[in-house]
Amino acid sequence: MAPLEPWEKVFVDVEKFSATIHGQQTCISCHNGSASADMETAHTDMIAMPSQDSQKSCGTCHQKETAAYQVSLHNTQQGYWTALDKRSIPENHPALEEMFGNHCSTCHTSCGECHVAQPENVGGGLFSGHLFEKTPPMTRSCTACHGSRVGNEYMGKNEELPGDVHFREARMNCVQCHTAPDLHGENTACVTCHTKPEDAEMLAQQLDVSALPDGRLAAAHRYAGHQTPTCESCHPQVVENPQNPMHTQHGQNLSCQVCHSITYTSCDGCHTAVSEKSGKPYFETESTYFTFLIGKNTRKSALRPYDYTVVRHVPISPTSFEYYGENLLPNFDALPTWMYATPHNIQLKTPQNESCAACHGNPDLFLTADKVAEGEQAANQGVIMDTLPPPMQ
Amino acid sequence: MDKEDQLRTPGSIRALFILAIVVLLLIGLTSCANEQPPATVDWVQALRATKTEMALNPPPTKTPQPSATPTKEPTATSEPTATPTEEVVGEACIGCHSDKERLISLAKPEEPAEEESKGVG
Repeated sequence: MAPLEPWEKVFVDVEKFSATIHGQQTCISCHNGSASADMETAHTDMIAMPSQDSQKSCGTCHQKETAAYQVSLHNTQQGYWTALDKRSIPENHPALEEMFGNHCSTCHTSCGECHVAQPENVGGGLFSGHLFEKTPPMTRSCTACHGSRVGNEYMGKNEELPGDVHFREARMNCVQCHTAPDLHGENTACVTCHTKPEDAEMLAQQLDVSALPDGRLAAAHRYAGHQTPTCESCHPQVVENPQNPMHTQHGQNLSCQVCHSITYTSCDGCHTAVSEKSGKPYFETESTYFTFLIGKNTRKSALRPYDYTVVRHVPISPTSFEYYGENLLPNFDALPTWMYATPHNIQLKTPQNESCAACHGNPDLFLTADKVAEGEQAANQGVIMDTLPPPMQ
Repeated sequence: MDKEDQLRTPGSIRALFILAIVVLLLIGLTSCANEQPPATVDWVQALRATKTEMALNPPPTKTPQPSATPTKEPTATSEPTATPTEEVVGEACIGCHSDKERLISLAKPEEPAEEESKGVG
């Protein structure tokens, strides 16, 4: 995504904007500022990004969305803390909070950073003359942040690797699978359907989620609960087709990506610090490389019953945050470093689904102990394949 | 001068005094009546008018805007009343932010920050 020129970032297309409902508001009704024609005075107390306080700004009209957004992962970034807390201890929380504030929190997203401007952490700037986009533009919004893995895989930007069939053939954008209610955090009231007392136990045990008193869902990890979306929601006839022997044989014990994903990106050892030179936070990733590896499913649940999934190495190491304190991740092994993954590069035909023999008896496809770093063996015990599918007779 | 005359004379002065006050009040009210009441700006209309004007006659770039002197006269009601000065403000926001040349001339040069992070984020 090409950066915008400084003027372009704040340019308002009067004719187009005034024809929209948001164009009926005055500038200062959202942006505050002072009643003056002098630039400096006018900008005093100005709120450049009103949706940082979404309920006060957007919420005056979009109450449902902004109320739900308070618990959206785009807003809370709870996913980071789910992983950090699991690998750490409460005593380390203050140091990790400092790290989080310097690094992770830059990925926080406000309403405006999806619907009217590019996210701040990729340079910011209005999309198109302050026009609000109901559907965020994919490359200037979604993959501007989710680019290095998801975006590159989905759009085929990794050399010699084709893009996802949903993009190549159908030109589907992100929101066609990841719907607005999902992105806004509206679909979290699991107990609105599961109303019986025993349901709560079922939710906790089988789906790795727990129901909060207000009906919202507390996920134990990113793959807890329902798959949203599922492949079956669009391809039920294929999945349930008894004439497809691969699906008949493996439909229940392999995740769809095991057969339909191709090589994807893994990363090692992200380290964070604050620069002595500039005083700004920075990170350094040890290495980035392509993998395709099948491992055991550590997220097995009623809705993800697979024995095997593809696994991606996440860029965590025991010393990732050592700049902020010693041994901040004492429970590092509580989570694997090779994680359940859902690469966004789906293909109908892949090297591993060419034939039975392409997979059976092919050790290159599987995460075996020899492919795991020495210091990460314990963390990945639940993922590493003990036995491989034998060659076909 | 008997006691009655003594009382009558101050009464005439009092009447003259009251008459003078009434005249002064009338003069004051007349002058107030000549002033325009504070304009209540329909912000939507003002913005629309501004936008139309801007589209047809974009303001010259780098020309200082006429300085708006805030009207500080108190108003009789507590309702927020927009003075004509505020109309200029609407024009100022839109006038500047829709003028590419002016935005270019006013933009502070962005120093390309040295990228200290390494690798894929």
